[in-house]
Amino acid sequence: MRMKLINRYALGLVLLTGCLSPGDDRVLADMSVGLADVEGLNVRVENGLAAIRNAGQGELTLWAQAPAFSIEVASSRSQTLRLEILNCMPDAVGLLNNQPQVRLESETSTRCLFDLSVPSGSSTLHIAPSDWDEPTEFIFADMGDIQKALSDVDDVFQAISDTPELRFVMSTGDITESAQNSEYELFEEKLSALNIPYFSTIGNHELTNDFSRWTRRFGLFSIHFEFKGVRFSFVDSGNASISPLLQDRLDGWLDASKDDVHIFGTHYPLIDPVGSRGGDFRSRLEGHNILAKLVKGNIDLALYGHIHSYYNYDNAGVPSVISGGGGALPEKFDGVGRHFLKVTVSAEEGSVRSVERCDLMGRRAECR
Amino acid sequence: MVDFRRTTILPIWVLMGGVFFFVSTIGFGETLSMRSTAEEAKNTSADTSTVEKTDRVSKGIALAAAAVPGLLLHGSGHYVLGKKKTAYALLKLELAALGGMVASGLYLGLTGASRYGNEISIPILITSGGVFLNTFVADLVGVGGLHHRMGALRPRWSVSAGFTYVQDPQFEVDSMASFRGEWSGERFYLETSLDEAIRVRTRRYQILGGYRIPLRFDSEEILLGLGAAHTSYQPEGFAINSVSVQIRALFELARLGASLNGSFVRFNTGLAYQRGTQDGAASSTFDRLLLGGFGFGLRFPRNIVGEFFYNHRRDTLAGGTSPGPNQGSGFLGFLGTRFNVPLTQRFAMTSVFRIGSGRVLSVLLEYRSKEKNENETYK
Repeated sequence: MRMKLINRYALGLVLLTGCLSPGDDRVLADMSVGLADVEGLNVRVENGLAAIRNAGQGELTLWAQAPAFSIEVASSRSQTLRLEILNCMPDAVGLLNNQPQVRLESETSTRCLFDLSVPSGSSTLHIAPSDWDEPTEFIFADMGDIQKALSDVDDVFQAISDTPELRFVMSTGDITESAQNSEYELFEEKLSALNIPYFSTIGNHELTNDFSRWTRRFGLFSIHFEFKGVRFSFVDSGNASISPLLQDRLDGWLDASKDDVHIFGTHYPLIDPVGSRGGDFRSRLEGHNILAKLVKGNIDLALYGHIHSYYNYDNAGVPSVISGGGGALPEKFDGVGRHFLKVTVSAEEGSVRSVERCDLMGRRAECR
Repeated sequence: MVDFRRTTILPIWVLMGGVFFFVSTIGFGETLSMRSTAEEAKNTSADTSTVEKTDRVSKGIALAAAAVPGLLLHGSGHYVLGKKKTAYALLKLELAALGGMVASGLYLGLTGASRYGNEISIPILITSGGVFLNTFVADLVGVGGLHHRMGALRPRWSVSAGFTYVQDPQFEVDSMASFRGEWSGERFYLETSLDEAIRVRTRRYQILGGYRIPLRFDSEEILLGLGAAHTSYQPEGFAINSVSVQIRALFELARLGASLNGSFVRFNTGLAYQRGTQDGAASSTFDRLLLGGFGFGLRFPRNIVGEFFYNHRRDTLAGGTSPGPNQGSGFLGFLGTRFNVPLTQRFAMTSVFRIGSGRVLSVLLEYRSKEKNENETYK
């Protein structure tokens, strides 16, 4: 009888535990982002870099997750297509089969609108700023951890908009507190204060509800793209871990970008600089394992969130910055408030030139 | 860069954490420890006869009470059985634990897990969480009659060899050869473990030793130790070396009442300093790791010992736990169970199952010293 009880306890313990690679579902979900086949129109967004929000009746609406991307369109007949791209680069131009397309007027700078005459057969549409492949210096912003401060985040967005020369925002996740649809709606509403696009991976807070909400709205959980010769890999660590399936993809990205300037981002720091707190990966071994990959892949800068403060530290030679200043409950006694990062990078020089912390002073930012 | 200024106040935090640790763990039946052995023996026989007289129905009610309202009011089961002294002792410990959990939880919550003070608030949270869970389980176990007898004499030394299976999709390692060695004198102790992968070059060595403070029962002790560990994952290209300061303790729950004879609790806390090296890296990583944990154990007939435990350490083969498929953690350590089954006077089988971000099962054959009086169960 007693042994039966013990067996029952042991079985209960096994059942209580989570799965060993909980992010696999999201890696598989990423593989179907940017694909649609409706009304004789087959659409495939290269590398899933834009989510298809609506397709059909002569319209195609996308949410971009990268500053530059291509779309393969196969049409059974010649047709006119109204293409709307949300979260688009303000200076993006459209090329359909290498032919420039007229960008229509829109009320916001991050909404790209085109009326396309799609011929029968296969076509390639490229959406990007005209300088997207010039390896000259550019600046982007990085931020994370908005959570409960969503209602006030327009202050941060306004400050980013007022900072000259920023091309786009990279985010390390935790946009919402509990991944409610209403929060996502509010977030998109608040984005109207931002005059550049906001590309984001997820944080653990995006997993407190059905993760397909993210897929349907924004598409990819893990983003990899190239802009002006610089590679960006922002990967999903929502479970304080990187799924082995995703690690396979990351290995490929790291390998292919070894000789380029490569910025890595993820929500959880691989190793919390305040190690005793443990605000990092669920396994210290995994943290070191991913760090070994970053070292091998010559990562030039690693950006993290999750910890609601600012830390600039060296991790096995990888310059690393934690920035969780989006407004979520701040870490106390650190002298750090709401902030974002201003990162200057140049593929030509082959380096990250500077990482500045921009502290919010009312609605404007002071960068240093 | 890492702010090394705070490291100067670390010893103070560690000291304060240690003080709390002692106060909270030694709190287990401090008043009872003052009782004379004769008095306890009397109570033991009285309690035992009470248990024998208790019919199944009242035991069932007591078990139900231990669950509800016992989940909130620990000791409810013992109270229903009329063992009020034990019931109140469990309740007092629960309240102390709740106080610790609320205070440390509030500190962490309100300061946004500040970089300052976590070396004390987190150990308090873990220890008080352990006391809370253990007193709840103790009530269930005590009224459920799962108790057997006091701790058997500890072997002075033991050596074990066996096999460890690791299931972790993050790493190449799976099968490992495992070896353990333990020696415990009156005042000093030493423990070593070695896990060497069979198929790939992955290994973990650990050594821990220090001063032993014997307590009232032979099986009870407080261990103050210094440890070192080396973990190497050659296929993945990294290694971690650590040194640690640890305090561990084992207390018999018989201190709280005879119905808990044979059950015991463990607590541990400490701090490790780690140096990580990555193949080809320009520099090493230096960081800290908080150690902590608790466990609850039971002795069954034929000296079989079983326990479950939580370990806050996240740099072992088991990594750390994710509470569920949809929520990350990055904070919790791993859970485990351990069973020791004596086969003969000198041989025993030990199985340890740990689950965090990986699953680790170790099965070891233990050879241990023969004590003078094998029938003696406690001093």
